Amino acid sequence: MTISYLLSRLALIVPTALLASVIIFGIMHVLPGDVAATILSGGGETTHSPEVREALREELGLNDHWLKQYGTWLWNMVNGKLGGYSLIDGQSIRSQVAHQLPITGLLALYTLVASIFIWVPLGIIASWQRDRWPDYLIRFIALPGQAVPSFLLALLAILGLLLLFGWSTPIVYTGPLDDPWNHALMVFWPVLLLTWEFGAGIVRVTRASMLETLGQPYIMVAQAKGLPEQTVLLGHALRNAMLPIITVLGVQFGALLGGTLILESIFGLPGIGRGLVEAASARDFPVVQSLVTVLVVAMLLVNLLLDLAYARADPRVSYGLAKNQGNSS
Amino acid sequence: MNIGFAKRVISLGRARPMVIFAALVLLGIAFAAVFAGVIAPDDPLTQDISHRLQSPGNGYLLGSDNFGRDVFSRTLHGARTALTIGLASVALGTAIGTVVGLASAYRGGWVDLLVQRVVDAFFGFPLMVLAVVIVATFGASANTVIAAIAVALAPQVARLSRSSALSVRSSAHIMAAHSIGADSTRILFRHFLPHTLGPVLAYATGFVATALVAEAALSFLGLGVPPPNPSWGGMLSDGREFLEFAPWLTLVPAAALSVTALCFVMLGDFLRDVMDPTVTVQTAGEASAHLVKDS
Repeated sequence: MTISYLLSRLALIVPTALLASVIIFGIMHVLPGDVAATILSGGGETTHSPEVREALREELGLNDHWLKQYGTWLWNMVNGKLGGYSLIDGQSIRSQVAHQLPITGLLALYTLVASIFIWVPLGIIASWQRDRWPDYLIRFIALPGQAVPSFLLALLAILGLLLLFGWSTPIVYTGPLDDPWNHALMVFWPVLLLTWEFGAGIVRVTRASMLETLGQPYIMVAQAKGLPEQTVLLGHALRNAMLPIITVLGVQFGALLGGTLILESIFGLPGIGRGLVEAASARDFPVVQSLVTVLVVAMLLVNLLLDLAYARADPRVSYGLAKNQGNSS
Repeated sequence: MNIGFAKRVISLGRARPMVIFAALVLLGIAFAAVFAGVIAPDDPLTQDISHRLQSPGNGYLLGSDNFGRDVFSRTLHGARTALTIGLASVALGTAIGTVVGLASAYRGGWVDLLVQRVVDAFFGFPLMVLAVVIVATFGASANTVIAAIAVALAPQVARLSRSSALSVRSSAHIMAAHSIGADSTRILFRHFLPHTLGPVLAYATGFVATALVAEAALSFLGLGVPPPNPSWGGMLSDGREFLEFAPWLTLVPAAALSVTALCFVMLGDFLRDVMDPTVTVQTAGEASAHLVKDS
């Protein structure tokens, strides 16, 4: 692990994010965008003349060459405006992101931390106690998380809380520093449900990966030497079993952001996911592009961190830095 | 291969009766989906306002919705929608992802680097984010949803197949194939593919659950199969308003979706073990038996 490797990976994020923004721009411009129609019908006018619409399209720059439109967005991205302004209400995208990103980021962070500290140990226990009741219990707890969508659990949770306790989640979001109690009440359910959804995959992979590693000859050797069970399990097996777990964390992080997309709408959290659904439905493309790019950069950074963890966990993975690769079993 | 495979399925299946149960349930759901038109007691679209929001049992097996439509019939037809979209999107996504991942791992070097950046760019989009943008742009229809989910799943498959291909890349049998002068295509399809297909197919089976949930989530957000066509996500969305008075509107499609997705997850787990040559009934048992014995 060298600094130069880190820098080169960081540098690679830029073209990847650019590529992603081009993909999104491409998708949104395959069909003639009609944010103009959305704006006009949003103003209460159900019928509007083609001239008015055309004038508005001209004003918004929708009739410009696509290259110029992309260039304008990109320039606004680079010069610190994070993509400029919403086409719908002219609001600055930077202030929108500044409001929405911390909410989604905190949700993701809470979920990630809770998942790692709850599910990985449970997965290890499940593999250790394979086909005995703790294994069945843990898999029983974890399985529905993957099959029952979190938005569904959210509906049932809201219904249950309302009917049984007459309690509903707070309506106005507050940051963790402004009003910690209100913040905790508001994020508790979405984080619980996301952790459940997020965790099903982690338990499965942890368990499967541990079982695979436990079947290796070197584990038998370690056991034959008479090493304590914990040493074999956590010292020998876990390290090798960790790679698929790290991979699944990266894969699941996307699912996590996707989960926030829906849960934010249900629980009234004004996060980036909810902002994206609203902007995409209105075809407000600069907003969609900026929000998606922000999410993509977040994903890339998380995956970079996981790749670094990968290399730390497995000396065989050296990303072409080592001269020769050791042959290990 | 085929006899060995069947033997493995039977021997591992015996050890896990729940998987057989899941497979039977899926067969039942598939049967219901195919013959929905024959089994359903009612037309899924016929409205009967005078019998709206009937609770289960009053002439309607599973109640009626806010338009007086039979929930049971709609759930059956919803199974058709769900399975079609789930299977089609996963098949498409897996095919694309496997080819890209294998080729990338096999070629290595700058090709791998370039392909991985493109995969990263796609992978950078959370599944639902990409799906929402695609469907919002192209308009909500079954085909758009299939394409959106397939495109969103493909990078995950590409990563999986690439990483499992990388793990066998320097193994003895690949080197042996190289040394006897096998060409790229042969090595790719005869020597890499069998090693990567197992995990990929097992994950793909699990991805069907993901796709089902994604389809339901899109429909729930109003970005799925357009109404009045029955889809489980759309039924959930409709039922949300009546959660307190008519919970069956939510619970019935919820149960259908959860059970179907759960069965696919279990089947995926099982297939993963069947395809993985290192897992046998004996070794799998022994691995834990050793540790268990110590305790």
